[in-house]
Amino acid sequence: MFRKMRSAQPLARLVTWIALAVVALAPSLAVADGITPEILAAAKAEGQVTCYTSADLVLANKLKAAFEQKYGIKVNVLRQSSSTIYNRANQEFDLGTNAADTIETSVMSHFVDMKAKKMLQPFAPATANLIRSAKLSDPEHYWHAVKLELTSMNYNSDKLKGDDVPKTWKDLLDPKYNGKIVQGHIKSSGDTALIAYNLVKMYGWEYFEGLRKNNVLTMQACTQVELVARGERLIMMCDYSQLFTARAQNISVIGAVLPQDGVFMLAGPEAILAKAPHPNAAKVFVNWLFSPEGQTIYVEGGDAASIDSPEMKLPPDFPDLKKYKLIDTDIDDFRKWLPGGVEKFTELFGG
Amino acid sequence: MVKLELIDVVKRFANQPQAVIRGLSTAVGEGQMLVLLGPSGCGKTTTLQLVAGLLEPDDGSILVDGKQVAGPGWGLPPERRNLGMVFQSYAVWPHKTVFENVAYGLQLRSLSGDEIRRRVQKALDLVHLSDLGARYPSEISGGQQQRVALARAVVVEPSLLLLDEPLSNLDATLREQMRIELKALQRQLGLAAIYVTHDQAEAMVLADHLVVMRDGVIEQQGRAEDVFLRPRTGFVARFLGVTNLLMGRVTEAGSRSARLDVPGLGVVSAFLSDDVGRSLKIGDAAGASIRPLELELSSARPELATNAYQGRVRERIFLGELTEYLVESGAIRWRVHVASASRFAPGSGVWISFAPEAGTIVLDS
Amino acid sequence: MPGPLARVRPQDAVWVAAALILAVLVLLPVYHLIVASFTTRDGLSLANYAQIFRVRRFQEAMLNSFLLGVASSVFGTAIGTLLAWLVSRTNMPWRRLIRVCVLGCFAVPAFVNALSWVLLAGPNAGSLNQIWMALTGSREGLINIFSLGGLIVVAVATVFPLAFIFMHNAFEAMDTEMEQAARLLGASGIRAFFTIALPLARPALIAAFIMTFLEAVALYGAPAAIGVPARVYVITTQVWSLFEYPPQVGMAAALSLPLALITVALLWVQRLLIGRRGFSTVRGKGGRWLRTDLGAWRWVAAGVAGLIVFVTFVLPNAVLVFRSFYRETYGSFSVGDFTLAHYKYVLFDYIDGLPSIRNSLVTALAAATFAALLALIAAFVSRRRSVRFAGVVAFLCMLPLAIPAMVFAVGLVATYSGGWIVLYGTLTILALAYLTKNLPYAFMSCNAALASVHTDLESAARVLGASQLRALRNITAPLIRNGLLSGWIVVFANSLRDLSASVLLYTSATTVISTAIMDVYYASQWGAVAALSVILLAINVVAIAAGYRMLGRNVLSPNA
Repeated sequence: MFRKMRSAQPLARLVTWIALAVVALAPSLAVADGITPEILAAAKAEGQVTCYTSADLVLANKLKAAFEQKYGIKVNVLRQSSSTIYNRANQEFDLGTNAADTIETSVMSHFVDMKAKKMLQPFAPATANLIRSAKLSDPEHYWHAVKLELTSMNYNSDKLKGDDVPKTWKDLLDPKYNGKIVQGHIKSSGDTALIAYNLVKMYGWEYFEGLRKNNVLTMQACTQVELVARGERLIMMCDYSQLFTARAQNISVIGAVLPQDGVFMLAGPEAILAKAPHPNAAKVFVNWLFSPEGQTIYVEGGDAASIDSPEMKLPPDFPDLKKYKLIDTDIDDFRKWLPGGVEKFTELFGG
Repeated sequence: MVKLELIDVVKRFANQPQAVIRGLSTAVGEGQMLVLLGPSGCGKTTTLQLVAGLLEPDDGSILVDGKQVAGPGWGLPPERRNLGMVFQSYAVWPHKTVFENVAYGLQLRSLSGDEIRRRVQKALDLVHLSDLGARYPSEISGGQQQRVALARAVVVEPSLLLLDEPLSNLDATLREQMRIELKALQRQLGLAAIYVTHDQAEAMVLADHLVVMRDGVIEQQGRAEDVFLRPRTGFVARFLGVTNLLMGRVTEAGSRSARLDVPGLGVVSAFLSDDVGRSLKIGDAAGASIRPLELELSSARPELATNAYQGRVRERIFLGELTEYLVESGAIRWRVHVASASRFAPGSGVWISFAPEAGTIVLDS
Repeated sequence: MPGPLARVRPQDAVWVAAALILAVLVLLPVYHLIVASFTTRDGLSLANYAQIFRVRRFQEAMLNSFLLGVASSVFGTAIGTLLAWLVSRTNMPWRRLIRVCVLGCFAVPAFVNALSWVLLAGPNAGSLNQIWMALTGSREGLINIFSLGGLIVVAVATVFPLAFIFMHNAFEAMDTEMEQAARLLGASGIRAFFTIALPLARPALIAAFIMTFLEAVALYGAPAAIGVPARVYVITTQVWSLFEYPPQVGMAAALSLPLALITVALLWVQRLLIGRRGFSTVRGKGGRWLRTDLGAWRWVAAGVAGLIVFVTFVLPNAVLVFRSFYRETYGSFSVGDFTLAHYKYVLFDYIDGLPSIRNSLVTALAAATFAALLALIAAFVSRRRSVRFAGVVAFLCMLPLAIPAMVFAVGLVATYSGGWIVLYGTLTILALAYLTKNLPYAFMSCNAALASVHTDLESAARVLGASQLRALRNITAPLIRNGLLSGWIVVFANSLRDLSASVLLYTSATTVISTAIMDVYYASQWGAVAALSVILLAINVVAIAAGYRMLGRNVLSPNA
């Protein structure tokens, strides 16, 4: 019944990618579970898996189509913003309704909380020991980062060319961009939360006060392809994958630029819920997401893979990440900062 | 056999300080038409609704066919009382045909289709609407709608027929004609009925038993003739036709007559009924009611003049067979009806007189 | 002699059952809400309320809601009244067309309307602004939709049809002999309108003010799409914000209850002013009457009315329809880019596409049918005063008006998520929300229709032997068929286009069209947004058109 989404790009040979800003050396502790034939059989018997995700819908659908084709197990996708998905999962857990099997958002903080609340069950995918940094996984395998979003600026390549295209985050404070920028809201957008944390660390709150003077438009989500493509705003502070989202819809006027003064990497964790109605299918699904096959689809969508594997290749026009300041975020520090950050942000931008 | 009995019925409405019905007692015999007559607001429609079961009394009791159907604070619902009712608005259902309207009550009684058809046709014949069964109410005249309402009410052979000012929406000629037809129908079917109206002429034509109401109580009841000729109170006297009401004080009270001292006029002697006499003693205020037709005019003082007074003709109005004279005697204004043969010019002095039996002593009200 | 038990009739059970159902439907969530507003981490206290009135954010939200409500009701009622008068009482040309367009506004979800407005009036790229800039050579657009003013404009455009319906009703039913008497004495048509007709329609005018206020204040979609970027938060968007995890239900409840109190007060004032007739409009002989001749001005009037309708109904929906058939590449326009791909995607590829359509239809049908039934019984009980608690029943039916849909949804979640009935995650809870939220409209419709049925018609049946229930079925119900139908259609259309309650109550298994639209909106898939919106519109248009066929121009009026 579900038709395969036609692939947006021809597959290109991928290049192994080594340079990450912070690479922890010790691999994760426990044995990687992977999938046994029993689990696979049970999964097929279950026949479906329900995934709550904040990943871009096009990306999610691509993953879904590929998985369904490979395993014949139906994937139900609910795509909403990070905070909405997180709220929903918590609400359902509190009420005792178990609708979802897996959950993925772009806010690591969520998963720390969910684990503490005993909402998750541990599962280590076969490639767990290939995850490039210990900071990207929970030591007890309750969750692992399945992708790394590269926060960047997307812009309308029709209206902004050459020198007009901003090169750094700091550039956005230039009065020539007055009324031309759009951002998400810290409460509902994981990208925005990370960007805010890091920019405040780098430039202090004066940065955002400057943005406000520049009449930045604050929407709930930072994914505003339509807005920028139409020319309502010309620059969005979001992440690199938006470029591919646009291309998937045949929109060629969106460009993306990785800021020179820092590319913050937003880890998007994935986990299986404790009371998942289809636990085996969930395991098969999650395992596949972390496989080179699954990870390739993430990369094709403009994110960085979380595993480090020779079988992974980057698309040819993927920027050379060695040239950029890739910044990892300490989860504990971020969590400490967040309540105050939310307060200050809402003071500036409402909500 | 008594079809309906109301015993000391009291009804209050929440937002009014005085009870709407204050101790009403009356009865309707078999085949008898009782007419409730009174000004608007006197409680006659409320009484009808109490009998129908659309309202419940606060005190007193109501009996139909000897069986109690309502008591203080309770009452059988209308659908259990087997009555027929014709509303002022006719209440003919616009979404049903004439036939369906009349058949409704029979359908509720689970009669066979044939039986229903037979009885409906009979009822329609009775009210002279034989061929209009298939029409809708919007396609027939007001008068015809009223007959449909009537047919609908009688077809179920009720114990009692209730009629709430059914003729008030018709024009004058139709009203008079329907009045007669209604009475004839009631007689023909032998149905006991209660008829509510504010029109005294209508009341007198229709009533076997007339009940005059005012402010929730019965002022007087009895045969229409009796009530008309011998009113009990000034109100009744004035309500039923035109009258001359002389107010004064009782100076003498006998078994069949009494004397009043009317200021500005003199002594008036008139008939005193037992009922009124029980409520009066010397010195009480009372009135004497004399119908205009009972008064005689003469240019010279009459011989046997127990009640003879002088006056001046103020106006003369020609009414056809009668002539009305407005005569002044000091502060008293008389209305006199005499045969048109006699003539008295306005401004001329006259003598007004009447026989004592022609006047009635009434209670002051 | 039969005692008190003789008074308890079997059919009374129906009334009692109806009242109980109403109480559960309406009061239970309200109760949970009130309790929640006093609940803090440290137990029951006034802490939430203290916060609400102290924190500037919340103060601003309440102020903004109030401003939005007042402005919307004033302008909305003014526009609605003007259009109603022009359509119903004058000889303005294109009357029928204008009326159809205003009624058509009820087919459109407010959220979708707001999105269209963003397309039209975004300060930089909105179509209207671009036309302006092209015409005048200015570098700046004319309208900035992302402002309080922009929000008010969209809110007015959303609520004025409601005022139109109230006033249109009133004017249609009015006895024109009153105006004619004034005209004969020398008053012009306009003067007669302002000094005779308008004052006579006072109950409807009051109702229109109050209802437009309530509707504006309860909006969520428009404030989310337009207010949030404009940093103008109102109570509904603030409540939504409070639901970010961890949800601060207590605060959310405390924030919304003062609003509920204000609306209860407003409704009570309205009842005082209008008396027992409550929400019915002026009743007169109606019938044929003279239309005011506007002379040459009628073309001006038609122009004004046409412009209003064009901007509020035609333009936004045209934009949507266009977008749904066009593959937007933001390059140059090309006829070859017209496509059915969006519809194909939405109906066959998008996982929530067909299921959401099915869910919407099922819940809307259920809500409309049960609401009509319940409203019929409740209106009967409350109008005929046959039972002691008649007033209570009427109050319960109207109470949902006082509570914004989203807040009511919170109460529903609190009520049906634990304990003995778990409805969260089912279609039932959605249907319950739609049913309860729209019960007031169904009730008003049945109430007004009942008012036009003389009690004698039922009494006649009762005296002939029909029980109250039987009389209701045989006599009253067929006669108020129009009112019932009109109420049904209103509930159906409103259920289909609801967002504020749905957004809190749906799960991945129970998406409805409006939540699906929201999801694809946030995923930035405008083609899908447009296609789904057009489908929703189409369903509603079909329903309203069918009603129009059966009921004529009073299709959505409470007085049908």
